[in-house]
Amino acid sequence: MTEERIATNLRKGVLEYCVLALLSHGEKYGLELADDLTTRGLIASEGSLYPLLARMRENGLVEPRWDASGTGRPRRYYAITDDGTGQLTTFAQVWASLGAQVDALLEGSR
Amino acid sequence: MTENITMTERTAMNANTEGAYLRDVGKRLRALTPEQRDAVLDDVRAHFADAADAGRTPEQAAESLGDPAQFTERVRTELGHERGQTDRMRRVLQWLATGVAVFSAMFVSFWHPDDSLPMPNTQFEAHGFGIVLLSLVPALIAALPNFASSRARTVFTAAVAIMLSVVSFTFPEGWAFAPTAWLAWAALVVPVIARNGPPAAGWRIAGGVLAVLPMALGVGGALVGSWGLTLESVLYTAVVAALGVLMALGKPWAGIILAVVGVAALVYSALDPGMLTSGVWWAGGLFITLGASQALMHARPRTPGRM
Repeated sequence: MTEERIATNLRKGVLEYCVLALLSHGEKYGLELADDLTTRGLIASEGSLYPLLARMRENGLVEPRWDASGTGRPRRYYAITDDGTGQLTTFAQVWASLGAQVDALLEGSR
Repeated sequence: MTENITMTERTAMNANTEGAYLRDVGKRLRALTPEQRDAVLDDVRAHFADAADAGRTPEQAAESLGDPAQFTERVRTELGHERGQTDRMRRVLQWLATGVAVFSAMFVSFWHPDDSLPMPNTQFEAHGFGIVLLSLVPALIAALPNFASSRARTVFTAAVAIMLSVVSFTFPEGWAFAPTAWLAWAALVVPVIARNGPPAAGWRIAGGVLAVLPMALGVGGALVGSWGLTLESVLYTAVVAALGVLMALGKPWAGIILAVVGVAALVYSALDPGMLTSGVWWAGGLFITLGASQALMHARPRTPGRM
Protein backbone atom coordinates (compact mmCIF):
# COMPACT_ATOMS: atom_id res chain seq x y z
CA MET A 1 0.00 0.00 0.00
CA THR A 2 2.77 2.45 0.90
CA GLU A 3 4.70 1.35 -2.16
CA GLU A 4 1.68 2.12 -4.32
CA ARG A 5 1.26 5.54 -2.70
CA ILE A 6 4.91 6.51 -3.29
CA ALA A 7 4.66 5.38 -6.89
CA THR A 8 1.42 7.31 -7.45
CA ASN A 9 2.90 10.53 -6.06
CA LEU A 10 6.03 10.25 -8.16
CA ARG A 11 4.11 9.37 -11.32
CA LYS A 12 1.86 12.39 -10.85
CA GLY A 13 4.87 14.68 -11.07
CA VAL A 14 6.48 13.16 -14.14
CA LEU A 15 3.48 12.00 -16.19
CA GLU A 16 3.19 15.01 -18.45
CA TYR A 17 6.92 14.85 -19.27
CA CYS A 18 6.55 11.17 -20.11
CA VAL A 19 3.78 12.17 -22.53
CA LEU A 20 6.09 14.83 -24.02
CA ALA A 21 8.89 12.26 -24.28
CA LEU A 22 6.62 9.79 -26.09
CA LEU A 23 5.43 12.49 -28.48
CA SER A 24 8.98 13.66 -29.13
CA HIS A 25 9.46 10.46 -31.16
CA GLY A 26 6.56 11.37 -33.42
CA GLU A 27 2.85 12.20 -33.21
CA LYS A 28 0.47 9.67 -31.71
CA TYR A 29 -3.30 9.28 -31.47
CA GLY A 30 -5.06 9.09 -28.11
CA LEU A 31 -5.46 5.35 -27.71
CA GLU A 32 -1.92 4.70 -28.95
CA LEU A 33 -0.57 7.10 -26.34
CA ALA A 34 -2.82 5.65 -23.65
CA ASP A 35 -1.81 2.05 -24.43
CA ASP A 36 1.84 3.00 -24.33
CA LEU A 37 1.47 4.72 -20.95
CA THR A 38 -0.66 1.90 -19.53
CA THR A 39 1.86 -0.75 -20.60
CA ARG A 40 4.59 1.18 -18.84
CA GLY A 41 2.40 1.37 -15.73
CA LEU A 42 2.30 5.17 -15.83
CA ILE A 43 -1.48 5.55 -15.98
CA ALA A 44 -4.31 3.26 -14.92
CA SER A 45 -6.69 4.05 -17.80
CA GLU A 46 -7.50 6.43 -20.65
CA GLY A 47 -9.70 8.31 -18.21
CA SER A 48 -6.71 10.12 -16.77
CA LEU A 49 -4.92 10.76 -20.08
CA TYR A 50 -7.46 13.07 -21.75
CA PRO A 51 -7.80 15.45 -18.77
CA LEU A 52 -3.99 15.70 -18.73
CA LEU A 53 -3.91 16.33 -22.49
CA ALA A 54 -6.52 19.05 -21.99
CA ARG A 55 -4.20 20.93 -19.65
CA MET A 56 -1.11 20.37 -21.82
CA ARG A 57 -3.06 21.63 -24.83
CA GLU A 58 -4.18 24.67 -22.84
CA ASN A 59 -0.56 25.37 -21.90
CA GLY A 60 0.54 25.04 -25.52
CA LEU A 61 2.75 21.97 -24.98
CA VAL A 62 0.90 19.68 -27.37
CA GLU A 63 -1.30 20.24 -30.39
CA PRO A 64 -4.05 18.00 -31.76
CA ARG A 65 -5.00 17.62 -35.43
CA TRP A 66 -7.62 15.55 -37.20
CA ASP A 67 -6.39 13.11 -39.81
CA ALA A 68 -8.99 11.75 -42.19
CA SER A 69 -6.61 10.07 -44.62
CA GLY A 70 -6.99 6.51 -43.28
CA THR A 71 -9.98 4.23 -43.66
CA GLY A 72 -12.81 4.50 -41.17
CA ARG A 73 -13.38 7.41 -38.81
CA PRO A 74 -10.83 10.24 -38.72
CA ARG A 75 -8.07 10.01 -36.13
CA ARG A 76 -7.03 12.77 -33.76
CA TYR A 77 -3.25 12.94 -33.58
CA TYR A 78 -1.29 14.73 -30.91
CA ALA A 79 2.07 16.34 -31.66
CA ILE A 80 4.58 18.05 -29.38
CA THR A 81 4.96 21.84 -29.90
CA ASP A 82 8.16 23.91 -29.72
CA ASP A 83 7.18 24.96 -26.21
CA GLY A 84 6.66 21.30 -25.37
CA THR A 85 10.11 20.38 -26.67
CA GLY A 86 11.58 23.20 -24.58
CA GLN A 87 9.80 21.92 -21.48
CA LEU A 88 11.03 18.40 -22.15
CA THR A 89 14.66 19.58 -22.45
CA THR A 90 14.39 21.49 -19.17
CA PHE A 91 12.80 18.49 -17.49
CA ALA A 92 15.57 16.19 -18.75
CA GLN A 93 18.18 18.46 -17.13
CA VAL A 94 16.29 18.69 -13.84
CA TRP A 95 15.65 14.94 -13.82
CA ALA A 96 19.32 14.16 -14.46
CA SER A 97 20.62 16.31 -11.60
CA LEU A 98 17.80 15.45 -9.20
CA GLY A 99 18.06 11.75 -10.03
CA ALA A 100 21.83 11.84 -9.46
CA GLN A 101 21.37 13.52 -6.07
CA VAL A 102 18.72 11.05 -4.96
CA ASP A 103 20.84 8.10 -6.17
CA ALA A 104 23.85 9.41 -4.28
CA LEU A 105 21.79 9.78 -1.11
CA LEU A 106 20.34 6.30 -1.41
CA GLU A 107 23.78 4.89 -2.12
CA GLY A 108 25.13 6.54 1.03
CA SER A 109 22.33 5.36 3.28
CA ARG A 110 22.69 1.73 2.33
CA MET B 1 -27.59 -9.61 -26.26
CA THR B 2 -28.56 -11.99 -29.04
CA GLU B 3 -26.24 -13.01 -31.84
CA ASN B 4 -28.46 -11.95 -34.73
CA ILE B 5 -28.33 -8.21 -34.27
CA THR B 6 -28.16 -6.53 -37.64
CA MET B 7 -25.33 -4.21 -38.56
CA THR B 8 -27.61 -1.15 -38.60
CA GLU B 9 -28.87 -1.96 -35.14
CA ARG B 10 -25.34 -2.28 -33.90
CA THR B 11 -24.35 1.06 -35.44
CA ALA B 12 -27.37 2.73 -33.86
CA MET B 13 -26.49 1.27 -30.47
CA ASN B 14 -22.91 2.45 -30.77
CA ALA B 15 -24.05 5.94 -31.66
CA ASN B 16 -26.34 5.87 -28.60
CA THR B 17 -23.64 5.07 -26.07
CA GLU B 18 -21.27 7.60 -27.58
CA GLY B 19 -23.93 10.27 -27.97
CA ALA B 20 -25.15 9.86 -24.40
CA TYR B 21 -21.59 10.04 -23.07
CA LEU B 22 -20.81 13.14 -25.14
CA ARG B 23 -24.01 14.89 -24.08
CA ASP B 24 -23.33 14.17 -20.42
CA VAL B 25 -19.73 15.38 -20.65
CA GLY B 26 -20.76 18.53 -22.53
CA LYS B 27 -23.38 19.34 -19.89
CA ARG B 28 -20.91 18.92 -17.05
CA LEU B 29 -18.24 21.09 -18.65
CA ARG B 30 -20.29 24.25 -19.07
CA ALA B 31 -17.90 26.07 -16.73
CA LEU B 32 -15.16 25.81 -19.37
CA THR B 33 -14.77 28.16 -22.31
CA PRO B 34 -16.46 26.86 -25.49
CA GLU B 35 -13.03 26.24 -27.06
CA GLN B 36 -11.86 24.15 -24.09
CA ARG B 37 -15.09 22.19 -24.01
CA ASP B 38 -15.10 21.48 -27.75
CA ALA B 39 -11.50 20.23 -27.57
CA VAL B 40 -12.37 17.80 -24.76
CA LEU B 41 -15.44 16.60 -26.65
CA ASP B 42 -13.24 16.05 -29.73
CA ASP B 43 -10.91 13.94 -27.58
CA VAL B 44 -13.83 11.82 -26.42
CA ARG B 45 -15.16 11.43 -29.98
CA ALA B 46 -11.70 10.41 -31.17
CA HIS B 47 -11.40 7.98 -28.27
CA PHE B 48 -14.62 6.20 -29.27
CA ALA B 49 -13.40 6.02 -32.88
CA ASP B 50 -9.96 4.68 -31.82
CA ALA B 51 -11.59 2.11 -29.56
CA ALA B 52 -13.92 0.95 -32.33
CA ASP B 53 -10.93 0.51 -34.66
CA ALA B 54 -9.22 -1.53 -31.94
CA GLY B 55 -12.28 -3.79 -31.83
CA ARG B 56 -13.66 -2.55 -28.52
CA THR B 57 -17.36 -1.97 -27.95
CA PRO B 58 -18.57 1.55 -27.17
CA GLU B 59 -19.45 0.33 -23.68
CA GLN B 60 -15.83 -0.70 -23.14
CA ALA B 61 -14.67 2.62 -24.56
CA ALA B 62 -16.95 4.52 -22.17
CA GLU B 63 -15.88 2.34 -19.26
CA SER B 64 -12.19 3.01 -19.81
CA LEU B 65 -12.84 6.76 -19.60
CA GLY B 66 -14.67 6.38 -16.31
CA ASP B 67 -18.20 7.65 -15.73
CA PRO B 68 -18.86 11.17 -17.06
CA ALA B 69 -19.01 12.73 -13.57
CA GLN B 70 -15.59 11.34 -12.66
CA PHE B 71 -14.08 12.11 -16.06
CA THR B 72 -15.26 15.73 -16.14
CA GLU B 73 -14.16 16.24 -12.54
CA ARG B 74 -10.65 15.26 -13.62
CA VAL B 75 -10.78 17.62 -16.61
CA ARG B 76 -11.94 20.50 -14.40
CA THR B 77 -9.23 19.79 -11.85
CA GLU B 78 -6.53 19.75 -14.53
CA LEU B 79 -7.81 23.01 -15.98
CA GLY B 80 -7.96 24.70 -12.58
CA HIS B 81 -11.75 24.89 -12.38
CA GLU B 82 -12.18 23.22 -9.05
CA ARG B 83 -14.02 24.83 -6.17
CA GLY B 84 -12.54 28.30 -6.74
CA GLN B 85 -15.23 29.61 -9.07
CA THR B 86 -18.28 28.63 -7.02
CA ASP B 87 -16.55 29.57 -3.79
CA ARG B 88 -16.11 33.08 -5.11
CA MET B 89 -19.85 33.31 -5.89
CA ARG B 90 -20.68 32.29 -2.34
CA ARG B 91 -18.22 34.77 -0.86
CA VAL B 92 -19.42 37.73 -2.93
CA LEU B 93 -23.07 37.01 -2.08
CA GLN B 94 -22.28 36.72 1.61
CA TRP B 95 -20.44 40.03 1.69
CA LEU B 96 -23.34 41.60 -0.23
CA ALA B 97 -25.70 40.18 2.42
CA THR B 98 -23.50 41.76 5.09
CA GLY B 99 -23.41 45.12 3.31
CA VAL B 100 -27.17 45.18 2.82
CA ALA B 101 -27.62 44.20 6.50
CA VAL B 102 -25.47 47.17 7.60
CA PHE B 103 -27.55 49.50 5.42
CA SER B 104 -30.76 47.95 6.83
CA ALA B 105 -29.47 48.53 10.36
CA MET B 106 -28.84 52.21 9.58
CA PHE B 107 -32.29 52.42 8.02
CA VAL B 108 -34.24 50.94 10.94
CA SER B 109 -32.16 52.85 13.51
CA PHE B 110 -32.01 56.32 12.03
CA TRP B 111 -34.39 56.83 9.13
CA HIS B 112 -37.42 54.63 9.48
CA PRO B 113 -40.20 56.38 11.44
CA ASP B 114 -41.97 54.12 13.95
CA ASP B 115 -45.48 55.44 14.49
CA SER B 116 -45.82 53.60 17.80
CA LEU B 117 -43.13 55.86 19.25
CA PRO B 118 -43.61 59.47 20.39
CA MET B 119 -41.96 62.17 18.26
CA PRO B 120 -39.13 62.21 17.22
CA ASN B 121 -40.05 58.74 16.18
CA THR B 122 -36.95 56.83 15.06
CA GLN B 123 -35.54 53.91 17.04
CA PHE B 124 -32.30 55.81 17.71
CA GLU B 125 -34.05 58.87 19.16
CA ALA B 126 -36.20 56.63 21.34
CA HIS B 127 -33.75 53.98 22.53
CA GLY B 128 -30.28 55.45 22.06
CA PHE B 129 -27.15 53.91 20.69
CA GLY B 130 -27.83 50.39 21.99
CA ILE B 131 -30.50 49.86 19.34
CA VAL B 132 -27.94 50.61 16.62
CA LEU B 133 -25.66 47.86 17.91
CA LEU B 134 -28.59 45.46 18.23
CA SER B 135 -29.71 46.09 14.67
CA LEU B 136 -26.18 45.37 13.45
CA VAL B 137 -26.41 41.78 14.73
CA PRO B 138 -27.85 40.43 11.43
CA ALA B 139 -24.86 41.93 9.59
CA LEU B 140 -22.56 40.09 11.95
CA ILE B 141 -24.46 36.83 11.39
CA ALA B 142 -24.36 37.31 7.61
CA ALA B 143 -20.57 37.73 7.66
CA LEU B 144 -19.94 34.61 9.80
CA PRO B 145 -19.60 31.94 7.06
CA ASN B 146 -16.70 33.88 5.54
CA PHE B 147 -14.69 33.08 8.64
CA ALA B 148 -15.69 29.42 8.87
CA SER B 149 -13.28 26.67 7.82
CA SER B 150 -13.86 25.37 4.31
CA ARG B 151 -15.19 22.10 5.71
CA ALA B 152 -17.85 23.74 7.89
CA ARG B 153 -18.73 26.44 5.37
CA THR B 154 -21.79 24.87 3.76
CA VAL B 155 -23.33 24.01 7.12
CA PHE B 156 -22.57 27.54 8.34
CA THR B 157 -24.05 29.10 5.22
CA ALA B 158 -27.26 27.09 5.62
CA ALA B 159 -27.52 27.88 9.34
CA VAL B 160 -27.01 31.59 8.69
CA ALA B 161 -29.66 31.65 5.94
CA ILE B 162 -32.16 29.99 8.31
CA MET B 163 -31.25 32.33 11.19
CA LEU B 164 -31.62 35.46 9.07
CA SER B 165 -34.98 34.22 7.78
CA VAL B 166 -36.17 33.73 11.36
CA VAL B 167 -34.97 37.25 12.21
CA SER B 168 -36.83 38.73 9.25
CA PHE B 169 -40.07 36.97 10.19
CA THR B 170 -40.13 37.36 13.96
CA PHE B 171 -38.75 40.77 14.87
CA PRO B 172 -40.90 43.92 14.49
CA GLU B 173 -38.30 45.56 12.24
CA GLY B 174 -37.36 42.20 10.75
CA TRP B 175 -38.98 42.89 7.38
CA ALA B 176 -36.14 45.30 6.63
CA PHE B 177 -33.68 42.40 6.92
CA ALA B 178 -35.52 40.17 4.45
CA PRO B 179 -33.15 41.17 1.57
CA THR B 180 -30.19 40.06 3.70
CA ALA B 181 -31.88 36.71 4.29
CA TRP B 182 -32.50 36.30 0.53
CA LEU B 183 -28.86 37.03 -0.26
CA ALA B 184 -27.83 34.48 2.38
CA TRP B 185 -30.06 31.86 0.69
CA ALA B 186 -28.56 32.81 -2.67
CA ALA B 187 -25.07 32.23 -1.21
CA LEU B 188 -26.20 28.70 -0.37
CA VAL B 189 -28.06 27.88 -3.58
CA VAL B 190 -26.14 29.71 -6.34
CA PRO B 191 -22.91 27.68 -6.00
CA VAL B 192 -24.98 24.49 -6.33
CA ILE B 193 -26.89 25.70 -9.40
CA ALA B 194 -23.68 26.88 -11.08
CA ARG B 195 -21.45 23.96 -10.07
CA ASN B 196 -21.18 22.78 -13.68
CA GLY B 197 -21.10 26.24 -15.23
CA PRO B 198 -23.75 28.79 -16.24
CA PRO B 199 -27.24 27.78 -15.10
CA ALA B 200 -29.65 25.81 -17.27
CA ALA B 201 -32.38 27.70 -19.17
CA GLY B 202 -35.00 26.86 -16.52
CA TRP B 203 -33.08 28.70 -13.79
CA ARG B 204 -32.38 31.67 -16.06
CA ILE B 205 -36.04 32.06 -17.00
CA ALA B 206 -37.15 31.66 -13.38
CA GLY B 207 -34.72 34.44 -12.39
CA GLY B 208 -35.98 36.74 -15.14
CA VAL B 209 -39.64 36.13 -14.22
CA LEU B 210 -38.97 36.72 -10.50
CA ALA B 211 -37.24 40.00 -11.35
CA VAL B 212 -40.33 41.27 -13.15
CA LEU B 213 -42.67 40.11 -10.38
CA PRO B 214 -42.64 43.26 -8.17
CA MET B 215 -43.29 45.50 -11.14
CA ALA B 216 -46.07 43.21 -12.32
CA LEU B 217 -47.66 43.51 -8.87
CA GLY B 218 -47.27 47.29 -9.10
CA VAL B 219 -48.97 47.48 -12.47
CA GLY B 220 -51.61 45.00 -11.36
CA GLY B 221 -52.38 47.16 -8.32
CA ALA B 222 -52.71 50.21 -10.54
CA LEU B 223 -55.02 48.42 -12.97
CA VAL B 224 -57.43 47.33 -10.24
CA GLY B 225 -57.36 50.90 -8.94
CA SER B 226 -55.37 50.54 -5.70
CA TRP B 227 -53.15 53.39 -6.82
CA GLY B 228 -52.59 55.55 -9.85
CA LEU B 229 -50.67 54.40 -12.87
CA THR B 230 -48.01 56.99 -13.63
CA LEU B 231 -45.84 57.29 -16.70
CA GLU B 232 -42.78 56.82 -14.50
CA SER B 233 -43.94 53.50 -13.09
CA VAL B 234 -44.71 52.24 -16.60
CA LEU B 235 -41.18 53.21 -17.66
CA TYR B 236 -39.61 51.48 -14.63
CA THR B 237 -41.64 48.38 -15.37
CA ALA B 238 -40.54 48.37 -18.99
CA VAL B 239 -36.87 48.73 -18.00
CA VAL B 240 -37.05 45.92 -15.43
CA ALA B 241 -38.99 43.70 -17.84
CA ALA B 242 -36.28 44.25 -20.47
CA LEU B 243 -33.59 43.41 -17.91
CA GLY B 244 -35.53 40.29 -16.92
CA VAL B 245 -35.59 39.12 -20.55
CA LEU B 246 -31.87 39.86 -20.99
CA MET B 247 -31.10 37.97 -17.77
CA ALA B 248 -33.08 34.99 -19.00
CA LEU B 249 -30.95 35.15 -22.15
CA GLY B 250 -27.84 34.89 -19.97
CA LYS B 251 -26.37 38.42 -20.22
CA PRO B 252 -24.34 39.03 -17.06
CA TRP B 253 -24.37 42.83 -17.42
CA ALA B 254 -28.19 42.79 -17.25
CA GLY B 255 -27.83 41.22 -13.80
CA ILE B 256 -25.34 43.88 -12.75
CA ILE B 257 -27.67 46.68 -13.90
CA LEU B 258 -30.59 45.08 -12.05
CA ALA B 259 -28.51 44.85 -8.86
CA VAL B 260 -27.60 48.54 -9.20
CA VAL B 261 -31.30 49.38 -9.71
CA GLY B 262 -31.92 47.35 -6.54
CA VAL B 263 -29.39 49.39 -4.55
CA ALA B 264 -31.01 52.59 -5.86
CA ALA B 265 -34.42 51.29 -4.74
CA LEU B 266 -33.08 50.58 -1.22
CA VAL B 267 -31.54 54.05 -0.95
CA TYR B 268 -34.67 55.69 -2.36
CA SER B 269 -37.04 53.95 0.04
CA ALA B 270 -34.69 54.63 2.99
CA LEU B 271 -34.47 58.34 2.29
CA ASP B 272 -38.10 58.83 1.36
CA PRO B 273 -40.09 56.52 3.63
CA GLY B 274 -43.62 56.62 2.34
CA MET B 275 -46.56 54.29 2.22
CA LEU B 276 -44.88 51.83 -0.12
CA THR B 277 -41.58 51.69 1.76
CA SER B 278 -41.59 47.98 2.51
CA GLY B 279 -42.72 47.19 -1.04
CA VAL B 280 -39.96 49.26 -2.67
CA TRP B 281 -37.45 47.96 -0.10
CA TRP B 282 -38.28 44.35 -0.83
CA ALA B 283 -38.24 44.94 -4.57
CA GLY B 284 -34.78 46.50 -4.18
CA GLY B 285 -33.59 43.52 -2.16
CA LEU B 286 -35.01 41.10 -4.71
CA PHE B 287 -33.27 42.97 -7.58
CA ILE B 288 -29.93 42.89 -5.76
CA THR B 289 -30.27 39.17 -4.97
CA LEU B 290 -31.36 38.10 -8.46
CA GLY B 291 -29.08 40.50 -10.32
CA ALA B 292 -25.95 39.63 -8.35
CA SER B 293 -26.68 35.88 -8.49
CA GLN B 294 -27.22 35.98 -12.23
CA ALA B 295 -24.14 38.09 -12.93
CA LEU B 296 -21.94 35.83 -10.78
CA MET B 297 -23.24 32.65 -12.39
CA HIS B 298 -22.57 33.98 -15.89
CA ALA B 299 -19.21 35.57 -15.22
CA ARG B 300 -16.71 34.33 -17.80
CA PRO B 301 -14.55 31.57 -16.33
CA ARG B 302 -10.97 32.55 -15.77
CA THR B 303 -8.56 30.69 -18.02
CA PRO B 304 -5.92 28.66 -16.26
CA GLY B 305 -2.53 30.33 -15.94
CA ARG B 306 0.06 29.39 -18.52
CA MET B 307 3.18 27.72 -17.30
